[in-house]
Amino acid sequence: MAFFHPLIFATGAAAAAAPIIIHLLNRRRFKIRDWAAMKFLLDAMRKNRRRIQIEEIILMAIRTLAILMLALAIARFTGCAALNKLTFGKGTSQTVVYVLDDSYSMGQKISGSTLFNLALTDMTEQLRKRHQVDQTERVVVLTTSRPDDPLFGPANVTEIESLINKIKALQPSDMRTSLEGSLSAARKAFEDPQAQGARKICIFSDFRRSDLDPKQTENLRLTFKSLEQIGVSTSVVNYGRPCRGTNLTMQSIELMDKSAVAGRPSRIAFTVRNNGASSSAAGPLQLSLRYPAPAGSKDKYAAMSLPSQKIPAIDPAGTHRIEYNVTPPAAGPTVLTASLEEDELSLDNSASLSLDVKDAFKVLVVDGRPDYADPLESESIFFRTVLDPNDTGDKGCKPEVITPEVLPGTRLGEYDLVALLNVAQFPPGSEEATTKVLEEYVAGGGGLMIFAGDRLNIEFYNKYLYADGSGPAPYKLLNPLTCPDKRKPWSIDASSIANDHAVRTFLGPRSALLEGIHIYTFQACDQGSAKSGTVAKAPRVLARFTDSNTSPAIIARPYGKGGVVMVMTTACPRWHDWISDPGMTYVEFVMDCLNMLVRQQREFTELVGRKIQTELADDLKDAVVTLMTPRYPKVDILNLQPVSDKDGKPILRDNKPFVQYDNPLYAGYYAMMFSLPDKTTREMFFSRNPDPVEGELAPGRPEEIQAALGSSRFEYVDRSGSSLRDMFASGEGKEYWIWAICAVLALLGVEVFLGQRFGHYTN
Amino acid sequence: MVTEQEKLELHKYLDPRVLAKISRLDLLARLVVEGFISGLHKSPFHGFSVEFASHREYVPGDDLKHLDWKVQAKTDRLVIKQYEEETNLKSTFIVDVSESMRYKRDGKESLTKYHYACAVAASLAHLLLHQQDSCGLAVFDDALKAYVPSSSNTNQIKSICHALDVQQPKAKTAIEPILHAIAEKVSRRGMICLVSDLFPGTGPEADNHIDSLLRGLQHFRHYDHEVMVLHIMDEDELDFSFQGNTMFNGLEATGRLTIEPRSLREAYLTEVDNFCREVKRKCVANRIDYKRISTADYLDAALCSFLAARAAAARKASAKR
Repeated sequence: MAFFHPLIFATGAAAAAAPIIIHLLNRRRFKIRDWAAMKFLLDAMRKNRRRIQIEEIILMAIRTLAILMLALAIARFTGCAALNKLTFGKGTSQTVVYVLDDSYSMGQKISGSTLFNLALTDMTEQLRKRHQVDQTERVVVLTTSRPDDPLFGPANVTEIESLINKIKALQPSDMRTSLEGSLSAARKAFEDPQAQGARKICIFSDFRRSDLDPKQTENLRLTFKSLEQIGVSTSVVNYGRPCRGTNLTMQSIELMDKSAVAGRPSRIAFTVRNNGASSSAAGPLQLSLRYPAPAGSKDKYAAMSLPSQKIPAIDPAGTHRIEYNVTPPAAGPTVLTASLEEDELSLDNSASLSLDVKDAFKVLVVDGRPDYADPLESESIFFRTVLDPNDTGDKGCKPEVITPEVLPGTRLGEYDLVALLNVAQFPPGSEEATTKVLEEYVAGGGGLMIFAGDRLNIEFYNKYLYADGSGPAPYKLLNPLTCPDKRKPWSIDASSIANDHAVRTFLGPRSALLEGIHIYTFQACDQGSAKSGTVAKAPRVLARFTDSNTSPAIIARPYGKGGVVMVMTTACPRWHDWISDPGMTYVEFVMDCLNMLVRQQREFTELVGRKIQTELADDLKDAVVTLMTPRYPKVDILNLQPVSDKDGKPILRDNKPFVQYDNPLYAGYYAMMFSLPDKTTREMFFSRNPDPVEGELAPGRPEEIQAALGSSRFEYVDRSGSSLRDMFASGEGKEYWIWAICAVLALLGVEVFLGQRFGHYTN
Repeated sequence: MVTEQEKLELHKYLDPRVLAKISRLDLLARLVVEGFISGLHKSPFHGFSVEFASHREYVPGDDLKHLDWKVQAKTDRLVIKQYEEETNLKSTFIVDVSESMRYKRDGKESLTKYHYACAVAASLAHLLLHQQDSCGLAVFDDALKAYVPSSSNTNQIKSICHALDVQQPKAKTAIEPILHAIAEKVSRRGMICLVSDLFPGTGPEADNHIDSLLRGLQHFRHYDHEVMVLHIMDEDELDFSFQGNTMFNGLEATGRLTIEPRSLREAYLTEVDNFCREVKRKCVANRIDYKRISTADYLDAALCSFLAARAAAARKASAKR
């Protein structure tokens, strides 16, 4: 038995005892009357005592029943199994929300079909049956991938076959299950003023254990509780079943470097997880690259297959990581796709990585000794040569050397790295402004390398770049120290090398090479001056000199989104002979620092469902923006407008308008095209990969579902082993309050009639 | 001569609600009787005690005032009207003053059964004394509380009213021995009028109450009295129209009972009806006049019943002769 207002029924049921209580109280409350004809009264009583008792019991039973019926009516009794066989429940209305889990795990294959197809069949059968019984109920059909965009309703089903055809055309989405959103949408549907009568929600889902983690389902419990509070009854059909065959999942694909550059190997990491039942050997990992085609090609983009990667046998629930160098052939939007062989759940067998491949890193080199007579005397000659040995940029780096005087007018935002080589100070008068620009550049994600030297103005550095610990310089500088005995120069202490990408060249067996590096002079610093703030984090010493104080040699400091590396000696062989190190550690160190410090490529790869957003730079403000989804041409190309407020005024992000696509529900890569007024186009790729957690097919047990929903008050059907019975066989959903009212009236009529007949009431 | 307006004025004294406001019983009796008489078409003073018997041939020496002139005019014969001897009717009213007679329905304008019985007895006594008959009174409960021997003295009505006034209903009833005792006291043949509610107690003797009552009345019949029973009942006792849980506290210590009266009304009325019917049946079998009167009835009902019974008795006496 179900009620809209169970509390009212409980109260009414308690009130049913009222006639008995009133009767008992009345027996204690009476008038006293002297009476002469007592014999006749006693005789009459003696002869009729049993009859009167029976009559009182009958009347009391009728009164009690009438109150119960009234309670049923007010509490809006919605039926039970016995009543369901009666036809008079027809005409009462109810609202039923069907929630169909179209997450990609529902695409698990079972004997020639999928769980999703099974759920579709069940749902359509239920709809058809319900339509035969009651055509007045309001129906809402939701999918978990688009809870705010119901497939149907809320409305009465007028053409059942049309609805069923619409449902049958559904396909599993590429999304992860999100019941919370669906239940919230269901609640909105129930709050509709037209949603009269009983309220029921039927959830067709596979309820994977990974979706039922109590720590992550707090909101789901709250939502479910709110549904219970408004009297919604719930039926749950669980299709989940464990994986019986092979099920490998592409868990992640990521760029290990900060950015990819054309012609330079980029390190890519692939992680594969075995979500299958056994550790059988997996097939190879197929890799393909889509990149901008060379000029003159017929197509705009070219594709190439990369050597496939062999994956060894992985234990169940185990993972295998592969790091692989991919060299993008050309600059521009590029997509790397990794695919596994098809298995029991195929959608999670591939993933893609979108990259905005640069043609080269741009490095701004500020040479602190511009007045050299011989180029070999300059501070930057070796540093620049390391970055671009051929001076053509063919190695993926384009250094640009300037003098400190030019720095204040330079737009630092165009560079991935700024290197200050023995720069004495910023031009007088612009120290503060230039320092601020530099700080904003680093905090915004840029990289800064500082090399010491004889020209360094310590006072300037400490005042502006150290700035009491809040500037990019890690330590307060002291005067340079020179080795007293040139025959016993200092070196870099091998034991002080930190495990960091920047100094990885000194790690392992190559640490022996450090002995060959001679340091004659270095910039001392006050190690006690290190400070940490919200932007400027605590500095970290990556290497130390072998002087008696083990003074810091290489210091790294995270600063905002960017980072700073300060080398306490020169970039040229003025204070050391590091350049001539036969182990080429100077070259590797500079390149590693470059890779570590360059501006991080923006993230183009996310999980399915995450919004696609991009700012419109000044050169793209007038562009027409279109988006092609992975389902093109099934889904047409979308036209995106800059996001604007109610008044149509563009909303700015980082002082720029932006476009946004809210529903990237398909796995694959999305191509965003900017068509400029000059007929040229530019493109960006965005990858959206399936959530790998959804690929874990371990089904949740009923008690886990109860824990996730925070309730056990729902009807549960396990479809892995039993057939779907009629979810509405209980009769819930029909309302009988009008009949309860009729019963109340009839009972009152009978009570009055019998009361008069028995002589308890006067006619 | 009483005018129509005066008739109406007097008739209102037959209404028990009006009588309840009159505290003096002698005054009440006078008003009732005059009100009652004013409603009759002919005077009751002729035909009560001066009864026509037969004709005989006139013989010289007969008083000419007894000559029947109408017969002489029709048949040209001289006949003399003969009358029965003018004797005073000797009536005795036996009034029940047991506690059960204390009952009256709610409201200021209602009479207790005892007051109603007093009004009946006093009115009839007044009527009889007014026509030169003699009447007496006996008041009883479980004992004979007062006895006024029969007399036609003009002050008799005051004695009767006084005897009725001073009694208060408070004791149980013991009707049979009382009736036997009174029967022995009233030696001369006359008319006995029992005014009572006839209610029994609740003890074992109550089951034979009617027989006990009849035995007492038969004692009067044995002495050739004309016996009449005026059964006084309150309107409540006749319709039992109470509502709501009530504890009925029996008068004359007959017990208590808490009930919803509506549930027992029908059964109660059946019991009352059976009782009255049985009493009436047995009275008729013993040639005793029986009249049930409600305290809500106008007193003329009682008076009419009495007069009718008296007339019937006279007719029977004539028939015997």
